[in-house]
Amino acid sequence: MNGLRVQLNGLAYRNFALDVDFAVTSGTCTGIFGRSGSGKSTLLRCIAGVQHIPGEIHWNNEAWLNRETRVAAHIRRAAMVFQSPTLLPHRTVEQNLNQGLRHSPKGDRTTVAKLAGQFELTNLLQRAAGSLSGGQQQRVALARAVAASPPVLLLDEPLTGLDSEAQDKMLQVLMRLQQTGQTILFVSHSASALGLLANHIIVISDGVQTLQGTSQEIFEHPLAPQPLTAQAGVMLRNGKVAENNGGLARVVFGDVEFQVASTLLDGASLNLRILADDVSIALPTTGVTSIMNSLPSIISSVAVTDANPMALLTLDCKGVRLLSRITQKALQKLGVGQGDAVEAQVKSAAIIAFPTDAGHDP
Amino acid sequence: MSSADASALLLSVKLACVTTMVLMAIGIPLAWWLARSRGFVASMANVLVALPLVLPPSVLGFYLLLAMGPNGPIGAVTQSMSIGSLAFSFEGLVVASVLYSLPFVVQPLQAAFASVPQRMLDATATLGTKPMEVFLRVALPMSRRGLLVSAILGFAHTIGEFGVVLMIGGSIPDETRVVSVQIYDHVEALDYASAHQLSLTLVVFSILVLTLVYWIWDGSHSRSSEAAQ
Repeated sequence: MNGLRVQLNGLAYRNFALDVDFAVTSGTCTGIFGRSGSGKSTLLRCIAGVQHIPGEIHWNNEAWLNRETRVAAHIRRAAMVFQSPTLLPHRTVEQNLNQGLRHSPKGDRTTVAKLAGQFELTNLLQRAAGSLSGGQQQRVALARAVAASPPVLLLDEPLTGLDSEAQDKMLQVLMRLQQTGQTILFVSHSASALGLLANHIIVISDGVQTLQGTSQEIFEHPLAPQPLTAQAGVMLRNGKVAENNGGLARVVFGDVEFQVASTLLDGASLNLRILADDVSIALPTTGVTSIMNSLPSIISSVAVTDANPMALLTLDCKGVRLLSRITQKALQKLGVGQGDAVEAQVKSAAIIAFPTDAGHDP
Repeated sequence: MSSADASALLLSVKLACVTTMVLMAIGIPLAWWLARSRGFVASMANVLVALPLVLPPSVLGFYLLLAMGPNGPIGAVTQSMSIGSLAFSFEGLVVASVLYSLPFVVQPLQAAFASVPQRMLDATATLGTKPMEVFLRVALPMSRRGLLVSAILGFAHTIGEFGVVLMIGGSIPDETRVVSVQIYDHVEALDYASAHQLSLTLVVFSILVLTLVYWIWDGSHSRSSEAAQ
């Protein structure tokens, strides 16, 4: 296969075993989700080759770990970015980046200037790494790892411990990186980060893999942990700003228009992420409402389970797919079901908008 | 200062320089291994390294003298190599000084290596860096203050040796009569003025060395606490 194949089953520490079996397609971004202490970081360390648990790991057709082989970390070159700083604090940012560049295969070699631009580090190149803020250090560590042109990039909680501004910047950098086709495996307990970055998700609980699938499958899975199901939603790509009226942009996707809080001006291209929890439905009897986006739609499917009081509705809004999560009780009150016409209502303030160079379809 | 005093001082400095170089060459790999090893063998190695801290120098000197003698294991090796006995020679003093000062070099180095976070070494390895390069490019630079402190302590401790040196080297002018032995000889001859002169030189030297060590150590600690914030 093309990509990473991981099958591990054994004791990581006394009284803690890891049991996982999954594949990561080359060029995709896979998120590993689980509570603190569920074994996510241990799993990354095993893939990197700095910790060992019995099992098998293959990259493409190359065995990194099996009964006979245990390839050393420096030969696997699966660059890992840790949650805590790992830069040489007394060296400059440029010297730290060179540490990664030195190991890049000759054909893939990029330059310090290009990396600095990509990771927004141009003004920091001559600063000592130890003098940077946490967010800046994480970006340098990420850039250093990318500089080494690793087959797979392993990120351990890349957003944890950063303030919200640093998190936003890191997210944008990661989204751009994701679009370059770099294979990424990242650990996070932030469901929203998974929603924005991951194509695939693996859920781990107490060391055991409980779910895996595409982001959409996991977010819409009735047994997925609540923080993940809260991320059920859609990513609408390449909408055009038709008009911006005082910070409220009219964004057009074919025949459908959304009113979105955004400062982007006419002609700009936007991706929109709309979560199912932010979409209500109403009967098409136009009442007075503060909701700016009231979109005629057809209910194309209804997913309900006995274990969950909520229902997940898939809506077809003139060819645009939306998801809506409402209570089963509300669904009964409206008396609607599959095939019925409703109005999908989305608050403008709830829509997350990105310029198209940063977003992607999960 | 008499020419004999100057010669003793010079010999002490020469002995300390050679010993420090040998100590660093042995101490760095040994401390790296000890800092990263667990288990019985490593524990026993720790005990052996620390032994000179608690043993009277005369005990260490006595056993070394036996070992270097014609019937001892070291003596047997040196004689088979046609070097003769190391006892009462400068080379013998170097061997004894290295063993006696080993804990003063290995223990600070071991502490410095142990304080380099494992994740820094791991992260560097995953970039494609070979283990030796990880050691040279990450572990050594991160431990540079520990290295400096170890070298200074090894040097200073060798300058201040007396018991082991006397047992192994005796008091042969220009060969084994180092400054501490010279002071002892002055006192035995009731030449207190000369003893004072050399002793004061050593007192000033020791204060300077310790000031330097604490200055380096404080610098490294305040920097690491800044980094932690």
